Formats: sequence, structure tokens, C-alpha cells
Amino acid sequence: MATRFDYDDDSVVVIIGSGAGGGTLAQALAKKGINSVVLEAGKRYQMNDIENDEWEMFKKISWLDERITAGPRQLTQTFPGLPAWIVKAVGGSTIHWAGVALRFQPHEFRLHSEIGDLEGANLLDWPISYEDLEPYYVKAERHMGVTGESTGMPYHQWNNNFKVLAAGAERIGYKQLRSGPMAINTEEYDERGRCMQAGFCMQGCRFGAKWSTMYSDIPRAEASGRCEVRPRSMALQIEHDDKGRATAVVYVDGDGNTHRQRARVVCVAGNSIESPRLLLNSHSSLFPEGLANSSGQVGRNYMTHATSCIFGVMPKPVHMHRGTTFAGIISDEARFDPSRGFVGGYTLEVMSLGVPFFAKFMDPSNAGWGRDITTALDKYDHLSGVWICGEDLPMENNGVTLHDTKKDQYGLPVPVVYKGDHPNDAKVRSHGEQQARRCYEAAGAEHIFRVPDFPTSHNVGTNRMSARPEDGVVNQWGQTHDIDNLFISDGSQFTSSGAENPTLTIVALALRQADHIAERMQRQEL
Amino acid sequence: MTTSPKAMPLSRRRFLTLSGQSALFAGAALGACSLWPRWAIAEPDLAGGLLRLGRDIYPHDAIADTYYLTPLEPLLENNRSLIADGLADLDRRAHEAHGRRYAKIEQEADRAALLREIEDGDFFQTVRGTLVVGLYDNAALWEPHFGYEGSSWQQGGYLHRGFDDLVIDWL
Repeated sequence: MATRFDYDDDSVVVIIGSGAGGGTLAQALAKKGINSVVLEAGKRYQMNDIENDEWEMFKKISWLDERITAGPRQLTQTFPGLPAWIVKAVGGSTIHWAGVALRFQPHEFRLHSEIGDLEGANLLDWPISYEDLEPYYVKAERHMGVTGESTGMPYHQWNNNFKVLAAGAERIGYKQLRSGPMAINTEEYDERGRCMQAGFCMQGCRFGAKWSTMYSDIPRAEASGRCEVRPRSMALQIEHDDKGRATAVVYVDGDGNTHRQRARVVCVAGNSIESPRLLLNSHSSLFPEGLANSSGQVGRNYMTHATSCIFGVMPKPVHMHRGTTFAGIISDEARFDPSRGFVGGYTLEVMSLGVPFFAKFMDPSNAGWGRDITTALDKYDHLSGVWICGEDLPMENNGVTLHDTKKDQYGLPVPVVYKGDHPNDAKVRSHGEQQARRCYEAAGAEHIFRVPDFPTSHNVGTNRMSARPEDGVVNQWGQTHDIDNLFISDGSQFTSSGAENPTLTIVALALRQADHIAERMQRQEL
Repeated sequence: MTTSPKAMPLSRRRFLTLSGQSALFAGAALGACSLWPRWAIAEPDLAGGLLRLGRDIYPHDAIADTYYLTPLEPLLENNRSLIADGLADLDRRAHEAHGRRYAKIEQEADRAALLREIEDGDFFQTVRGTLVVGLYDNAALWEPHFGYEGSSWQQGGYLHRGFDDLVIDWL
């Protein structure tokens, strides 16, 4: 029988969100005997709800509550209400993520020290180093089942899409070509089966070969008797007492009833739009600018990745849709090397889209129609694609604010998600595009074209870590500088974006945070 | 989604022979085209204009009319005035530039030039937004026309069905 905790039970950790941060944390705390209540805004889905169908899954699991895309970018025209492509469901965006499990590089934790001040960028070192996080990277890799050294699982066979990109990449001199690390099983691991190369990684893995909290951490945490997950529960406000300690989370359930769950500790893991939004919405007379916002940095420094895609039309059918969606990684340009004219690097990641999404994303601008578009579409099965994952610098005015008048279905102010490029981001993107084109030229492509960035799945930075309270929102443990028992447990903690997909680092931070919370609780400090 | 009984195993070549291109210019003979939905036969002018527009937005010569008309049909119920007014405006522009209705302009480039003038408008983008899903999310077209095999988990993915079968022999 499922564990139920009383609304007035103030001994529980309340975790808001059940994705890479929240789901991992709930399971890690449960293993240590710590009780938690997970408030998840989305529904719970079963494995047989996962279909190999792009639009069906998009409609089913995406976070489609009203949001406003803002900033000097094309996305304001092409996706005015969908700045981010993330998930509203038990399991969060670990249902949708593609499994690329790269570690950040050491220099990415201390970019500010490496280069000093850069005009327009709000650069800051992380308060932790790569060495601090390394043991947790190993734990995260074992926990998630990441191919490579930590688990001993071999990398995947190269699929057709990666073979094409790699053929070109080798010809232009790239050396660091790998089909991993991926948190996608190449053999049975942790009671989950091996990858069947079905494709549709971003629609959810029907076989459970890709790690997701939906079917790994969450069910185990629940089975332990130490965790209660409440789906369709949207957090409205975090409450505090007159000493400024968090005391409860007010939320509305799927039937529209409002509840107050008391808490010993509150951990916010709602992704980089909802997490700062909740802190801002929790303003009070004691905290008029929002909770944990004495620095004024809540909702700021929003980073995605400097990105776009390049596709090549090859002489023969490639069938890029067969096999994992992000099947290979080229890391030669991920290095720190300002001689290229920019700071930060980028990873090239081979990617595929099905016909429905390719048609939608290929050129979503008003002018994206006509014979040029359909000529490329007619060659769909000859396409190979690559996605650029480039370092995106923090800028203070990129971020999440609350709309003055517009409210969503919960009565909460709609989030406005503003994002513009730093000149460095534009250089990273343009260098990446040029190199990707060179790869496809060298691979013999008959035609090469760019696909602009679409609503991003990588959202980080809006409650960033800092050594000093005035520079950021949380300390090296994800604990807010202002409120002892309030933690941030998702990618919004990131101080920089890196040139790597964020999930592995989110999981490593969550495992590290769980250790910290357990120790502090044992010492009666929380 | 589609009403065509001929959808599934068609080769690309066979598709070419079914192309609806010629029906567009057949005027009164429209009603005789059995691949058209019933509503389109009942309203040949609106249907003809809308079909021409759909085919100009996403021109695939080898895809039959019915795959364009079926997803566009709901627009005539839900957005009738937008569509009717939009097509009337397009015809006015066509008369000014070419002395004939839009759908009767023979050169694709001439029609496309007219459409570029209105591409930022609600009418054009509504039709396009409907078609970008309605046309490309039609599983009946995926493999025959695009070589996209769609859902794979039922067959055990592509592990033993060619995910790594490419031999790069052109370099």
C-alpha cells in the first residue's frame, strides 16, 4: 500500500518536481531513511502510454501551460508561447531527454577565473570545482547506467546517422568521436533492458533502456515506504515563519483543491522556469522581492545553449530515424581555446527528427514554405543531422519574470522568459555551424542547410550557485543563502552552462545534495 | 486520417500517376475526381483555391490532392470567413497582377510571388500551420513518400532492422 503522509507532518522533506533533480533526490533520501513528499504538477504515465509518435507524445507530456517567449530572438515569432520544450509529468524531463551523459569539463566550473570579466556577461565561478563533483559524477553514472568506464557497459554501435557525420568529421581532422557516454543501456543494467535502437528517445523510451526517474527512481522511492508522490499537484507558494524558515508548501491538486503540506525542508526542482517563478510568487512582507532573493539574482542569468542544427542531404538513404536520437558526440571543439575568437566551447551531437517534427522545425519562420522546403523534405531519408551544444554565457537580464496582468489556470502570474545572445554566444553558434557544414561537405553531402534553434530543453542558471550571497541564490550544496531549510535541486543552480547536456550534472548535484541534507539532519541542523 | 483506400503500399512511382495536379485545371470536371472528399466536390471553387494554396505552400508533386484536402477541410467549418475572405483577397491580387484567379495562374513562381506578399498574414499562416501537421503527420505518407518508417517499438526497434546498415561507398 502506498505511503501517505499527513498534511501536518512537518518531519518530511517536500520536493517540488520529480525529474532529474527532484526524482533523484527523493530516491537518494529514501535510501537514507528520510521521508519525502514529492509534489509533481503533471500526471503519472505508464510505460504503455509511451508511443513512438512525435506529436502525440508532445501533446501528452509537454509543459504547455501559458508562457511568454521574449527577447531579441526569432523564437518570439516562431514559438511565442513555448520558450522551452520540457515535460509536465511524473519523471519530468527525464522522459524526454535523449540520454547524452557528458560531464562538465574542469575549466567550465571556473570560467570567470580563466578569462576575467567580459563585457555584458555576468560571469562567475561555481563555488565547487570539478574535483569536488567528480566522485558524484561516478555515482551518477552508476546510478543512471551510463555507458563507459563507470559501469563497464560498452558504448553503442554507431548508427547510420553517426557514421555519416563521423566520416566527414574524420576527414576534417576531428579525433574525439564517440557514441557515448549515454545513459542508455547497451546491455541489461539495473533491472532495465537494453536499447532496441527504436529511435524516439525524446518521446520517452518505451523499453525503459534510457534512464528516467519515471520508471527508475520514483517507483523505487515509493516502494521504500519513504516517499509519497502526489501527481497533478501544482505548487503555488512556499510559506515561512517569522524567523524566515520555510514551513510549508501550498499547492493545488488535480481537482482544484488547495492543500498545505508542512515541511522540515523544502527542495525546489521544477526546472529553470518554474523554480524561480515559485520563489518569486512566494514573496511576503518579510521577503518582498521573493524568497531567497536578497541577491536579486532569482530568475536571472537564464542560459540555454548556443545552438542550431545543420542537416546534410547525402547521396544515399541514411534513415537517420533508426536508432537512438542523439547517437554520437564530437568533442574536439569543446575545449577552452580563446584563439578561435570566443570563450567556451561546443559539442557536436548527431541528431535526428522524424518527418512530423522535421517539417515543423526545419524553417518555422513565416517564410519557411515553398519549393525549397519540400525539396529537402522529399529527401528526408537521405538526411543526416547534427545539433550544436555550445556554451551560453550568463547575462543578468536573460531570465524569468512574472507578467503584470496575465494569469494561468492556477491564478499564478504567467512567466515571461527573456533570452538574448551575448556576442560570444553568436560566435560559438556560427563557428559550430561552419564546422558542421565542413563535416557534411567532407562526407559528400549534396546539399547542406541550417535549421534554427527550436524551443530549448536545456534551461539552466536562474537560481545560480555562488560563493558569496550577493552573487547568487544558493551555496555549493544548493541551499539558499537566505533560508537554511530551502534548497534548489535542479539545473537552475548552474553557474555556467558548459558545452554539455545538463542532466548528468543535475543528477550528480542532487546525489551530493542528498548526502549533505542527510548529514545536516543527523546533526539536527535542519 | 486519410480517406484514400490507396494509401498504404504505394511506391513513389505509383504516387506520381495519382497526382492531382491535372484535376486543378479541369474546372467543372472537378466533381468527377473520386479522390476528393465529398465536401470539396460540393464546393469546387473554395476547395480548388484552398487546394492550390496548400499545394503551393508545401509542393510535393507526387502526393495526391486528398492528402492536402483532408486536413484542410476543418478550416472551412471552423474558420470559414477567414478562408473565404483570404481566398477572395488572393483572387483580387491575382486579377490585378495576372488578369485571372489565383488558382488559374499557370506558373508556380508567379503564384509563389503573390503568396510571398501575404505570408505574414493570419490567413496564410493558418492554412500553413494546419497543413504542416495535417500533411506531415499522416502516417500513410511517411514510408511511401518520405522513407520514414514511423513507430518501431512494435517490431522491436531497429536493432535488427538496419539501424547501422549504411555502407558509405560514395567517398
